[in-house]
Amino acid sequence: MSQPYDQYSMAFFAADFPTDFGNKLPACAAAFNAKFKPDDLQFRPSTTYTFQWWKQRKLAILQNVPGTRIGYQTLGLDVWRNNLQEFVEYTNLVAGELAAEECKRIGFKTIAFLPQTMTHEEMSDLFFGTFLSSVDTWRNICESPNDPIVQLNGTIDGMKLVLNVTPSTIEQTLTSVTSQGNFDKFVKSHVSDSTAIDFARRVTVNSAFMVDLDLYKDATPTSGVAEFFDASLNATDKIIASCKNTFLSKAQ
Amino acid sequence: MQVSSTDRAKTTALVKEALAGFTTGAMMITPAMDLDTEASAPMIPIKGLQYNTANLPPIRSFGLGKFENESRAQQAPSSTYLAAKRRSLCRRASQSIVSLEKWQAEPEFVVWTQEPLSIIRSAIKFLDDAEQFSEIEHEGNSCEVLRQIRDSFLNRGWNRYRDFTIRQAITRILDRLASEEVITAEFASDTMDQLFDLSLQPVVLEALRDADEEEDDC
Repeated sequence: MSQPYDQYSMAFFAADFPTDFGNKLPACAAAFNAKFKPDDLQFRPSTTYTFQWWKQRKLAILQNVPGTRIGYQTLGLDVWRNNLQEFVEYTNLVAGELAAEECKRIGFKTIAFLPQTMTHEEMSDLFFGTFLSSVDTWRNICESPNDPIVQLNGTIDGMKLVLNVTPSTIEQTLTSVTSQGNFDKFVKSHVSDSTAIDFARRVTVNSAFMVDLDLYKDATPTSGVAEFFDASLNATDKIIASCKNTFLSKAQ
Repeated sequence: MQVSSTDRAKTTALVKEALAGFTTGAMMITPAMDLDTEASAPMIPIKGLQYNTANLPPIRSFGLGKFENESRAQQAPSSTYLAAKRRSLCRRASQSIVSLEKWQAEPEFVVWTQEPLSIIRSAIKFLDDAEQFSEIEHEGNSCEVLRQIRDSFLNRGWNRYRDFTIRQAITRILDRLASEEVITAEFASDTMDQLFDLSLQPVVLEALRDADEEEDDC
């Protein structure tokens, strides 16, 4: 189900295979290219292949890092939600071509910038008493605590999670977005295609409550990737909603 | 505000008159550069389509320039922030009142009532101060309800909080304050009635009997 923050989020998926399939990579990339027909393909032979679909806000990256990895990157959680089956097919094709039966690690990461009508100072203040203990308890460490960041490691629905929440100014958001790897690869040219710039504009209209969530599993069979996609997306929605409610002191 | 065509013509004429001395070709006001920008904005042909630049959003710079929204820091607090803060404080007050159960039979029960009372007072002070320079009272009704609850503790009203039904009723009111986005005037009025029905004193009309209470009344 689509969510209001879909258009304010970046999503990443990566499946790491335990062995280096170096010599199989070119053939795998060729098969991927032939079947899914991306608009363009950038490559460094035998190390990285980046498949690009213009205006679709998605990328697929096949690489040896070392160890072989297939990864997807989208500008907007809606792209991920609406093309879930495609991403399953991409992964199945790569796993089939490489004859890989198990992933060393699979992970789904979301960075959501939830727009707020508050100033950064106000958002920082709300962190104390919600995610963190009252501001007075921190005064012996720091006279006027501001710009907090909270990191939590744990598990949810059989997945491990690393969660970071923080208030983000417009400038911080802009830096976070534009410094993400491959941000420039979503468009053929920023002059003729404003897709990436439009995304950056959208998330930098207001200060934001930033939720950076990494969900992952170790040693997973490649056949379990589709199930992981569903589980991670559900957990992402659940965690973002809970974080937002905690931040705004709303009932869970 | 709508500007009539007569006003616009007058303004144009005045500007033309003022600029009459500067008749270099580039600076002259021509009919095409009239003040009616919407009609005269240049059209940019893009792949056969015509875009009127007047309808396009202003281009934002992504450099290290100033971002307009950040300038709001000097203004009154946002209503979202105040509502979140009110919910947080009222939840704490509600939990504190629930915890009074442990001490309800104690002779020095008044001591334990200081914690919820102090949270309620700080909530009133915070919301009141925050809105001092605001044109709109976003949390005026919340403050009113909190003042009623605060007053119900005064003049030995705290003694009534030994009673479970009183605590339950007050907790219910505080839980509403801790969950709603907006508190209405109707809710404030209903709360007043409810407190009177419980024989509490939501408004202190007589002199406070307790010297300490007088000091703290904010």
